[in-house]
Amino acid sequence: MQLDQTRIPIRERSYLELLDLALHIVRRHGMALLFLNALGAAPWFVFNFWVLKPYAPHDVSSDSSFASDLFEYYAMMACLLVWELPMASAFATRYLGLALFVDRPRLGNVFVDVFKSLPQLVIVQLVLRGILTLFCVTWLVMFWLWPHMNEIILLERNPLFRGRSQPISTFSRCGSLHAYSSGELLSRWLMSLLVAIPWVAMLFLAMLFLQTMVTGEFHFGASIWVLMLPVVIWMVIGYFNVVRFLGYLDLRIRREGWEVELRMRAEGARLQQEMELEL
Amino acid sequence: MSSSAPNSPRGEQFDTAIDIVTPENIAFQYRLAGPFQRAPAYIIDTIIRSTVTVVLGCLGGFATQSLAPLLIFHFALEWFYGGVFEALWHGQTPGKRLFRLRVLTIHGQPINGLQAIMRNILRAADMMPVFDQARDIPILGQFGYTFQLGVLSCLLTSRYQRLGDLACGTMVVVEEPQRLYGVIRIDEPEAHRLAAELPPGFQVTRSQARALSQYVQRRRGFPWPRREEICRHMGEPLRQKFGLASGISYDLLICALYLKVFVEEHPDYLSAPPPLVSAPNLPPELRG
Repeated sequence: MQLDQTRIPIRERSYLELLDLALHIVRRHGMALLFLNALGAAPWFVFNFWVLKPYAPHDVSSDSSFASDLFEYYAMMACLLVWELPMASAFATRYLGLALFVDRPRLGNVFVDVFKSLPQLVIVQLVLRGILTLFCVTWLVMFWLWPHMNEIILLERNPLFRGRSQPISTFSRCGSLHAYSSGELLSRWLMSLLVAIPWVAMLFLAMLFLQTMVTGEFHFGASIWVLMLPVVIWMVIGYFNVVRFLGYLDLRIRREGWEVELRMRAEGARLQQEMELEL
Repeated sequence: MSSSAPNSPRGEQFDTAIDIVTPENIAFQYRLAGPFQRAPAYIIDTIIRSTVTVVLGCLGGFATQSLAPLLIFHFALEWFYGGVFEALWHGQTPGKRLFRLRVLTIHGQPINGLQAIMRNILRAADMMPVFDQARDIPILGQFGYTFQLGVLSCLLTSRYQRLGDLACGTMVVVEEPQRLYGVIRIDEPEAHRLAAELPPGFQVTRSQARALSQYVQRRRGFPWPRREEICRHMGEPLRQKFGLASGISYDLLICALYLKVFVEEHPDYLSAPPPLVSAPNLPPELRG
């Protein structure tokens, strides 16, 4: 592994360029990302379906309060998604971290690495985030102020708390990485919503079109809303996992000079090697 | 002419950059614009078209009672606005010009009129599937055109080509000004003192020079502990190699080496106007 020869050239990029670059990554690693995103999302998809079943909207033709039922259903789903996203995207995030340096990361390594980070993921992203979601604070803390907590847990693997031998903890690294970037992170979050919501709508319509072509009839029943639309939402979330990972790299480049560090590390390793040979 | 796709053998990297080599063996690098970078330009062009139609509709409505001229004008505007502008403005529409985008052939040459017209007419195919039944659905009905065929085409092609681009052999690139750097001035006197202590005749490799240059360009943006953290990787082997005392500041050591390589051995760099070379800035013998 040569640290200065990353698969994605490390340089500053605009958010729109990151959205485009994610298409390249999806094309190259499409099958693995599809599998890992599906693996991460499937339990939560079933969980959401089960939890929200009592609130599921009835058939559009049989109930006049369909629109309000639908809004209520998806408002509750949005809250659940905020809580579930980091856990659901853990496999894909770790895979992308490995794919930065090696051509074909082994899925076995991905599972092992996620398993190693599981305690922190459970404490921070499941328990703490769950509690914060209840008070709606997550919207601010995890999305705006600290949106890259998942990447730090999975890719940096610092201890949760500082120790004598470990001066940098997950929280301190998170704080230093996100410091003074809240305006930019907020604008990126809003931009993501601006892109993701119309895309979900258009992809949903394309899926409906396909369904109509295949079955030969246009059926717009409740099953479309509780099954097909959530699948589309998870697909778009999967894409934005890649964008968020690229955003994390970009933030590290801007805030920490990561591209410089990778080059220095590679040169340091070469120098060390030369000195050992000279001896 | 030859062109290499963004994920071509050039290190098998994923990037939005593309290399194009002319028959004269001159290489150009372009940054490709994908669907997300093109979307704002398309929105601006749509707003312009809509505004022109509405304004002329209002003016024409007062002048004549017939809708026919307006409909013909609207038809022409919808189908030929992009094509005519791209043909006359060398691959740009007002929206593209605003966002510094340009349509080129896949060989990096300007597009001709036929390519400009055809790629814009074929946009209708990229907007598919159009789901007419959705028009009755609240909110979703606004998204009758799904654009998914165009997005799928961009996803599957290495140059982000939609169907219109594939048919006409075109691509959209971002025009960005090249950043140029001169030699960076280092103000710390300790670095200059340390540079004098470094053994004479130490030759840096080309990649080491790049690392030094890149670090010195960026270091002012990093807090002090971060500078030390970054420089430790290269600074510690260098300290051992030069036989310097432990506890030395790695940041200053790297700066001292930069001074030695880029400034002291080339004093004309600071007395003359800074040489304008593409980053990373290298001494003449290290450029290639």
